Amino acid sequence: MKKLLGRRFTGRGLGRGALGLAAGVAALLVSMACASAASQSTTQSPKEVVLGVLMPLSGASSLDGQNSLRGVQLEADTINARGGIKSMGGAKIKVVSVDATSDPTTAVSAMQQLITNSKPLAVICCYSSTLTQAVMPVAERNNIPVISSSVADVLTNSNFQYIFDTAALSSQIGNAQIQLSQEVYTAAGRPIKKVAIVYEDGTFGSGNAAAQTKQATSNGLQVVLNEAYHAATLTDATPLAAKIKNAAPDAIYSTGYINDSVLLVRALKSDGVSAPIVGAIGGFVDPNFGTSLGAQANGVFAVNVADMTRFPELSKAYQSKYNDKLSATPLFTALMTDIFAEALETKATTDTTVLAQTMHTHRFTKGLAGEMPGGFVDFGTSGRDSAAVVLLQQWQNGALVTVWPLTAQTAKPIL
Amino acid sequence: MLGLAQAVLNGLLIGGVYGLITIGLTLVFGVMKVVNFAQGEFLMLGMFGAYFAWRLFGLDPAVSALGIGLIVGLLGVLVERVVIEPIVHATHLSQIFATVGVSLILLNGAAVVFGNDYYSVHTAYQTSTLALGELRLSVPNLISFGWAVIMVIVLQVFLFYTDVGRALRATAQNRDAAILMGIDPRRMFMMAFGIGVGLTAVAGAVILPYTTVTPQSGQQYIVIMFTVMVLGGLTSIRGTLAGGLVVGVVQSVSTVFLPTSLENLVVFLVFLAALALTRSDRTRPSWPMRALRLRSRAFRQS
Amino acid sequence: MGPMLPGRQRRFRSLAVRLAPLALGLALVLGAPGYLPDQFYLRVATFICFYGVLALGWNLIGGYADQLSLGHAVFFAIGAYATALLQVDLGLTPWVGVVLATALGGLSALAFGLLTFRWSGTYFTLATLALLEIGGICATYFRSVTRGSSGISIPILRDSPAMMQFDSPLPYYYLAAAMLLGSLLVSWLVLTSKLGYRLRAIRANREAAQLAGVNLFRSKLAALVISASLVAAAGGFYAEYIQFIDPDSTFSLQLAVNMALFAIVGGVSTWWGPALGAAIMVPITQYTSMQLTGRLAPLGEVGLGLILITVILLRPQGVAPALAAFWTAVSRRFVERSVPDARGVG
Repeated sequence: MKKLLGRRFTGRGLGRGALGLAAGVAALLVSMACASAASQSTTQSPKEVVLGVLMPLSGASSLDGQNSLRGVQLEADTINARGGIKSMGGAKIKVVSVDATSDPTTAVSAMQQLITNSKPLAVICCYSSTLTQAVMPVAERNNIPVISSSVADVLTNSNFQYIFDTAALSSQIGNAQIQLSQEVYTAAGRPIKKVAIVYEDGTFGSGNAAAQTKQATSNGLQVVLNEAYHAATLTDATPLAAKIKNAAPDAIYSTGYINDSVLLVRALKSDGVSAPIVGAIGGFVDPNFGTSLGAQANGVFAVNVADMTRFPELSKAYQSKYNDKLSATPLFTALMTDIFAEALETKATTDTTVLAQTMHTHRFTKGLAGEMPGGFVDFGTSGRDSAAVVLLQQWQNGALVTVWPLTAQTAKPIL
Repeated sequence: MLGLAQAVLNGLLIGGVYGLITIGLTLVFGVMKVVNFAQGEFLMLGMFGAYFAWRLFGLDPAVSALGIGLIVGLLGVLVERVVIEPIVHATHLSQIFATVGVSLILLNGAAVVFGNDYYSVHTAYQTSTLALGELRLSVPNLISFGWAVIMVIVLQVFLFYTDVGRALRATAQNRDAAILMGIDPRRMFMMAFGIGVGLTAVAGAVILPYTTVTPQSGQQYIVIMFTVMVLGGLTSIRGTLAGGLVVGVVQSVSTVFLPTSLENLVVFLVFLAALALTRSDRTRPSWPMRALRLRSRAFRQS
Repeated sequence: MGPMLPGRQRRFRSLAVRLAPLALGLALVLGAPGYLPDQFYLRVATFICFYGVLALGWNLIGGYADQLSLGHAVFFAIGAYATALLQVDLGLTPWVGVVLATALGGLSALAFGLLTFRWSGTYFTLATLALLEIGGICATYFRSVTRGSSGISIPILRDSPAMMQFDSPLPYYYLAAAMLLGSLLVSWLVLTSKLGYRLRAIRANREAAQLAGVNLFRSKLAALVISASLVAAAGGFYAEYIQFIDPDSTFSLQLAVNMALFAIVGGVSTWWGPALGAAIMVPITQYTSMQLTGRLAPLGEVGLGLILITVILLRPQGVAPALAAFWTAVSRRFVERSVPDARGVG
């Protein structure tokens, strides 16, 4: 027996080990062969332009991901029915969708797969700021424009050249939450003095909360409670509601997802808290918020980035195709599809770098872009839409209506 | 001061619920000596069962709870026969990972069938509270607490005053002696597992009105369940209820002084502390039990 | 009954059957970029190597020492965060960062073990779960250090090998493959060392081992430290490869379960089983996640659960021993070239 490193080196164990490794690699090859047989591989014909969609179609965000995809498909079909991209000889938009799942690691692989297999001109992604942030390095390395609607400030503050974000900045939304609600209550003669700020402890919630705190302090308001909670593990909001009640605020500002927002509102009502609640997009503007809470949703305020009632045609088309109500999520992905088409109409190209250039320099006014509250969409050099505005809405009779500013008001606020 | 008193009261009510959802886990461990890592998923199935009973038949979860428990209990018996029974005498690795496998299947199976949405029921009393002087008692929590007490009493009667119950206790105390006395351990295991997961499902139905259900719900409660079980001395039913009350109060009171996002951290730290304190001497009742001067005659480790 | 081979030929063949799989395995691993059709497959192969390291690491404490950890992702997360923070906050190159992260993983294992080794069996497993959750909560809460739920993005530096960033996926694969081969070596060394003998003794009969003078605590602690170091190193690699980490993806129960699952399927009693487990299971998970999308996606996990239960009920020792036995039978025929006659082995 050879002695290697002072131990008995029979080689037999090593041999079997290497065999196992070989067997494993063989297994790998076989399964890869199966996988390749099943994987999509599209070649781009001149009669088509490929628009990639990377959304979480499984996992916790799957419903929002599904709705996002629907928005793209609906609008792409509309554009194709009208004759496609005329500047490129009537080329049709081909939507290629890959499941990002709700896990960042898988999202990165999915993005890589999408780029390699389908060679999209642009990718609409990813509903959640976390996923978008995770896949940006891949997009940057491959010069692929990513169109998104994430509010996270960090996305456009990080020197990414290929991000185009249609949503207002998280800081903008947080400011608006305080500012707009304050205006409403001051106009009614019941000024707000003390505020409680509660939020989910992720990027979404914390970003908003930081902006709210800043705006509140500069407006001379007293922040009596600043409390974060973990959305994923919140099963009972009673302690949180108790804390809010003990702080006795004039208004409660909350940022969260659908489940925690529903639990919080229920707990607050249960505890007899009468102070107005002002939410920020996310769970508070989700149609399920109204369904889950029923009558208890009425009177709750929420800032939003668009007014659904201003898109009756799209709402009708969406309802008839998917038998579901249009919400902000698919509205924005439909908007992104319009932007993609308009960019190509402005400068026909199959080069992703040129497309990115167009998107940085062009002001989008056609289609849905023109119908947005700001009147246009303009990404500028930062990649963030400078025309994004924030509206204050309120749940009334199970539906969201815009109550402030007066220029966009569709119903009077109920205080 | 009032805030603290309210927190203690809330903690007791929610603690009763924690005790209720853990009793099944304790029963399974006591009789079979297997920690069921899938127990949370049976809780989740109970919650879904109650949701659909409400949506399809308009039944209040408090009413459908027993029926749901029975159905899930039967599912538990099936799982026990197929997966658990073969590994009762196997290595720790097999036991732990067999139940982990069941957990994976149930959780993801539910995700496929129900999707990842959050579901909640609407009941008339969902946001009602009873006033106790200056303090408020949440009605759904009160109902859950009531169920917890009833279940504990029923279980104690079953275990001490029926033949089957006594056979279960015998199997838990000393499996070999029980076999010698003519008890069929396989029937006992089937029964213990079925009743155990059934009880947890009943708890799931009962807690649904004040929370929401999604396939991940079971995972949110599993570490709390382990904490309560360990605190309660691992094999005592009354101890489990006591452990639940302790965990509930500690969690509730901690949120008064600490940020809400750390509320579970406290529970996990309590868990580690409980392990540290109870592992030193497995023959004595755990310190909460001694503190409450309850002796567990139900199951004592031999 | 055929003629026996002369002794010299037998010895030559014997050596050949021992070295051939080793050579073949090395060739397949190192030559992968040559025969894999495109970048997508190379990425999958990189993940196989990565998960192989994780599974081998888990096995050092889970398989060898029978301390079943369901929270091993804690060390993975420590390694990932250490590497990422050292780079983002101090500008330290990941080549050094990963080494430091590995050391940090080992140190935390020391603390971890001192705390939890008083509990054996199921209690230890439950404690590891609790520690994983505690780690996740702390990583989310202490935003000023860890960036909380927002996670850490490693800044993109094009073509900077000095900072472990490459424009092509090839160097990443070789890095992962090197880590895998290194972990296999460590796994084999531990198994055949005195530590390995002691651990096997403990696993066979704890009391007898103690009577024979084996220090249970020190042996298990040593195994845990090495195990955690490997896992932390993989964490550092992950941070640089994916370039984004956050509490949910690193302090992940799913990852912790997968590590153990791959090792169990492969075979916990062998030094190479876990790597085989990764090689089998990772392509399966990749394949199912591509095929099953939307509502059906969780079926992949259901499949994993079914595989886990099947392996535990039918073949708890995993695939490796069966494969090894097969190879032994085949190679014996080859070496001796005949069925042994009544006089015994030739």
